[in-house]
Amino acid sequence: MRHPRSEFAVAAFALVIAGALSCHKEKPVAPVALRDPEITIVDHDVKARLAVDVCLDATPSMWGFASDPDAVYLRLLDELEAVVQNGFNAASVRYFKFGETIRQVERSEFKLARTEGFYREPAMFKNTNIEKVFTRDQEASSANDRDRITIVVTDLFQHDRDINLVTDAIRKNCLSRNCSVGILPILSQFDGLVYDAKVPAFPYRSGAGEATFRPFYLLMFGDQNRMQDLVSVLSSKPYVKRDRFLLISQRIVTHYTIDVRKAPREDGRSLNAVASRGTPGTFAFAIKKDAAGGAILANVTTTLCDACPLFDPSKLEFAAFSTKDRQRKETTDLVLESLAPAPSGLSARIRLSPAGGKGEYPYDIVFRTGRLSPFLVPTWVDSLSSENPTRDHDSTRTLNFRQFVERLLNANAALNQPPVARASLFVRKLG
Amino acid sequence: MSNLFYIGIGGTGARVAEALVHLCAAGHGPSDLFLFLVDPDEGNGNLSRTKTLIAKYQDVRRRIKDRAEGVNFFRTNIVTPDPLVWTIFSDQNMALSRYIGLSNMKLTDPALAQLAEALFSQEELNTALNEGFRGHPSIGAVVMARPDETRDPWKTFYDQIANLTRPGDAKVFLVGSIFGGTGAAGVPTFASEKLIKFHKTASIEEGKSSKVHLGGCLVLPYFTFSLDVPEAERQRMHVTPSDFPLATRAALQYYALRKLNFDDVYLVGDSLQDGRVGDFAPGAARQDNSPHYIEMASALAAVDFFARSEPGMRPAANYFTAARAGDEITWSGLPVSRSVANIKQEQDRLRHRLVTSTLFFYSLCTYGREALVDSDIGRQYWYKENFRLRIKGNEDESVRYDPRGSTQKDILERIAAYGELFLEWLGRIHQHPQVKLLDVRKILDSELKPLTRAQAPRGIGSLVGGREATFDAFIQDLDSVGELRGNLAAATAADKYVNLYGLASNRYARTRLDVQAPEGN
Amino acid sequence: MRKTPLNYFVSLAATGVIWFFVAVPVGNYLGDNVVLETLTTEKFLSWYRTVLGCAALLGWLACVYWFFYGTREANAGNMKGACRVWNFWFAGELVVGVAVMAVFVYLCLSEALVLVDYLIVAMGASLLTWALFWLCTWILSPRAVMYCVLGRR
Repeated sequence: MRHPRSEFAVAAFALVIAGALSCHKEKPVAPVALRDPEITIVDHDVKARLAVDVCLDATPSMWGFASDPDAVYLRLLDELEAVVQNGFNAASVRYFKFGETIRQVERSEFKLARTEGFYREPAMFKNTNIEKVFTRDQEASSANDRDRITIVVTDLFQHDRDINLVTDAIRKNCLSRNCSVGILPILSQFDGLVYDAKVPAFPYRSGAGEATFRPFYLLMFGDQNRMQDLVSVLSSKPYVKRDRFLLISQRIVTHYTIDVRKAPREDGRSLNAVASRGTPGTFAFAIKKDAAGGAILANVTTTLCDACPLFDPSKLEFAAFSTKDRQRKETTDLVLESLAPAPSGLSARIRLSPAGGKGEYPYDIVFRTGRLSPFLVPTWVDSLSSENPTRDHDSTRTLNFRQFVERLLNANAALNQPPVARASLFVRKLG
Repeated sequence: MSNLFYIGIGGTGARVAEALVHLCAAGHGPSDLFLFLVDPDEGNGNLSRTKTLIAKYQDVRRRIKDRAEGVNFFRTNIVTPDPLVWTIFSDQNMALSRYIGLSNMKLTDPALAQLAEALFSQEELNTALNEGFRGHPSIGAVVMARPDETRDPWKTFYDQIANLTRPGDAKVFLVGSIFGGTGAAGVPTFASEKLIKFHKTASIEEGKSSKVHLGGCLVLPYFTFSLDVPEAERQRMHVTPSDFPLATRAALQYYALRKLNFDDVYLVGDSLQDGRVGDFAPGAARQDNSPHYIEMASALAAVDFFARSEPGMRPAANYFTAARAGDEITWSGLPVSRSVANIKQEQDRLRHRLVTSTLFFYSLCTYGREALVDSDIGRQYWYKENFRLRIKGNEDESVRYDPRGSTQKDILERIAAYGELFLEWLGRIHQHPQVKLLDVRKILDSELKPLTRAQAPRGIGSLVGGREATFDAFIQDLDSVGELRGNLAAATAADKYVNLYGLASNRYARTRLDVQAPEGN
Repeated sequence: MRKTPLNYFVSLAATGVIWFFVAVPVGNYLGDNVVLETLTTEKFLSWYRTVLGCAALLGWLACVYWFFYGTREANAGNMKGACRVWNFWFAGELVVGVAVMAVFVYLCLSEALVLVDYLIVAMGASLLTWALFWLCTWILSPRAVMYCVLGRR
C-alpha cells in the first residue's frame, strides 16, 4: 500500500505556509480624513432661514459707483434682495444706511441709493464709521444669531486712521465673539471722486474694461458657513468672483489627516505602537520599562476651506493636553521638537515623556495657528491695494486695503488661533 | 509417581502414542503419564518415530521450568521406563517353534508338540517374529502371555502399581489395533485376569477388587495401503487390506465371547474409503504409516479415560464407540468425552488447545527464530521489555535476559524443532481430504515445513475458517503481553520466550480467531 | 496513556499548554520588550501567536500521524521501517521549526528585533515543533513503536 506519509507531509507543509502567509504584511492604510467639530468647519443646514442686514455706505465716495446707471454697484443693490430671498428659505433683508451714524431704512429709501442725494445726507456723509454697523440695533448686537449676516457695502476707508478703528471694532464685536468676517470685493464702474487716498480726493472715471473699474467691498459679519452659502448664491452673478472671497474665521479647515508614529531607530527604541481604541485620529503607544519616553512623529495634512487664507506651517503652534480623569489640562509631557513643511502637509517631531510611573496617560495634541501673523494675505488683495493711490497711479486701488486685511487676519489669529489638526494619544508606561 | 498408565501395543499403539504425545505437547494431556510400548518389531518406522518424539518431548519439557497461567504446552510429565519398548524377544530371529521349544517338546512331551503343530502351521511356527506377528494374533497371544516382570518396562510398571493401595488408583489404558498382529494379540492378552487387572501387585483381598482401573482402545480398520507387494514378500506371511474386515469381525466376536477384564472399552474406527496412509511394508522401518485422525481420536479416548473414568466394580464393562458421522471431520465430530453433557465444552477445549499450540509452534518456528538473528529486534517492544540484545561477561544475566546466548538459543531451537514435528503431524492428518479442523495448508509448504512470514503473511490468521488476520497482528499481541512479571521476571530467557509466545498465541486465538478457552481450561 | 485515542487527546492538551506558555507569558514579555518600527505591539503578537500556532498544529499533527502509524498492524513487526518513519517526521519537524523562524524573520525584517528576541522566538518554535514531537512520542507512543524514539533506542 502506498505510504501516505509523503502526501501528509506535503499537506502539512502547505498548511504552515498558508498560515504564515496569513500574516502577510498589510499595505499601509491611508490616514482617514477627519472631521472634528473642535477643529474643522462643521456641516450645517444650507436651507436654514437667513436674515441679511444690508448696511450701505452712504458717504459721498460711494456716489461714484452709483452715478453710472448701468454700474455693477447698482445692479448688485437691485439684485441683492432677490438673490437672498431666492437662495434661502425664509430669508429676510433689512436695509441700513450708514456714514457717521447708522439708521435703518425702508426698501423704498434704499432704492434711492442710485441718487446722489442718498449719499449727501446731513450727519451722515462726512465719515465712514463702519464700526457703527455693530451698534445698529439690539438684534445686531446679539452675537448668537447664527442665521444673521451683516453685509456692509462700502469702499472702505475714507481716512487712514480709519483702519485701526475699524479693525478694532471688528475684533471686538465680531472676531472675539465667535463671529467671522468675510471680504468680497466687487469691481464696478466708477465716475466720481475718490476719497480714500492720502492725497486730496481726485476725480476718476472708469472706462469700458473691468481693469478700469474700482472696487467696492461687501464686508460680511456672521457665521462663516452662512456667509459661504450667501457667497455661493451671489456667485451666480457674473460680477461676483468667488475666488476673491476671503473668509476670516475661527475654523479654517474642512478636514485633515494626522498620522502619529514612533520615530525610527534610536529615538523610538523605548516606544512601541500599540493598537488604538479604534477611532481614527487616536494613537496608542507603550513605553518600555525603565524608559523615560521617546520621540514620535506626526504627519499632518490639511484641507482649507476655499475662502480661507493660507497659513505658514512654520508658524503653527503645538499644544498638548492631558485628558486624565476627564479633565483637560495643558501638559509638558509632550514637547514639540521641530515642525517642518512636508510634501503633503507638515511634519512634527514631538518628544513624549510622561512624568510619573507605571500607568496610563491619555493626551490630546492640537496643531493650531500661532498668534503672530501666521496667515498669508491672498495675492488678489495686493492687486486691489495701494499705499498711495493717486489719479495717475493706482487710481483703481483701495488705500491700505492689504493692511486692513492683514490686521484682520492677525487679529483673528491672535484672538482665536484657528486649529488645523488634532489627535488623541493613549500612552501606557510599563514601568 | 504417576497413577496413569498408557501401554501402546503394536504399530497402532505406537501411532496413537504419537498422537497422545502431541496432544500433551498441546496441553491436552493429564498432568502425569507413565507410558511404554509393546512391539517385537523394534525397527518399525512408526515405533521409531514415536520413540524419537517421546525423547524430544521429554527433553523439551525438562528444559521449561516456569510457566505463566494459561501456558500449558508440554504440561504433561511423561515418564517412560528404560527400555521404552518391550520387544518381547531378545533374540532378533526368534520364531514360535523356538520360543515354545518345539524341538525339545517333541522329545519330552510329544502330545503337546503335536497339539502345537496342529494349532499352528509350519509357516507360523517357523517365521521370524522380529517384524511382528504379520497379522497372526494367535502367535502373539502365546509369546505375550508371560512378560518378564523382573525387567523393565514391566518391572517399573508393576512396582508402581504395587505402591498404590486403593481400588482403581491406577488407571491403565491399552491401545492396539483390533486387526493385524501385535495389537490384536496383545490387547486381549494383557486384558486377561492375571496379567494386569488382578496381577498379584494389583489384586486387593485376593481378587475381590483391583487397584487397576483398566481401559482399552480397540482401533478398528481405518487405513489401507498400496497393494503393490514386492515379489520377495509375496511368498512370506503378510496382511493385506482385504484381510481387515474378516479379521475385525473375528476379533469382535472373540471380545464378545471372551471374558476380558476391561472396565472401559473404546472402539474407534473409520471406513476404508480413501484412507491411505502409505505404501505396503511388512514391518521394520519400512512400515512407516502416515498419521491419521483416527489415531488422534484414539488418543482422545485415552484422555477421556484418564480424566473421566470412574473406578468401581461394575457387572460389565462400558463400551464407547466412535466413528465418523458424515463425510467431514470437524470439531463437532471428534469424540472427546463419554459425557453427553460436556461434549461441546470438551470439543471447544480441544479446539482451543490445538489452535493455540499450532499458533505457538508456528510462530516460534518462524518469527521466533527470525527474532533471534534480527539486529533490529532490540526495538521491538516485547523483546525490549523482556530481553537485552547484548550482555557481555555476565553469565547469570545472559541466562535471564539474552535468548541469543548459546544455552538459551539451544533450548529454543529444540522447542522449535519439536514444533516442526507437531506441525508436520498436524499437516499429515489434514492431508486426508475429509479432515476439516484447521486450514494448515496456509502455514505449511508441500513438504509440511512451516512457511515463513514473508511467504504466508496471512497464513496464521486463516487457520480457522471464516477468519482473516495477519502475522503482524500476532506481533501486536506479543507486544500486548508486555513485560513478564512475577515468577516469570526471574525466569530464564528461554522460559520467558516460550511464555511470551504462549500468551500471545492465547491472545491471538481469542481476539483474532475467536477461539475462546472454556472455563476451567 | 499510550492507548488510542487517549494519546491523541493528551498530546493535544500538551500542545495547547506549551503553546499557551509560549504565546502568552513569553509573548507578553516579547511584546513589552521588543522594539518595533512599523508594527503595533498587538499586530506583532498576533503574528507571533499565529505563526507559532501553525507550528504547534503541525507538531501535533505529526504526533497524531505517528500514533496512528504505530497502531497499524502492518507496522507492528517492521521496526526498521518504523524507526525510519520516526526519523523522517523528527527531521521534518526540525525543518518546520526552521521554516517557522524563517517566516518570522521575514515578517519582522522591517522591525528592530535583536538577537535575543529571535532566540526567544526560536525557543518557542522549537518547543512547538521538534521538541513537542520528541516529547509526545517519548511519553505517548504506541507500545509497538515506542522504542523507535530517540533516546529510547
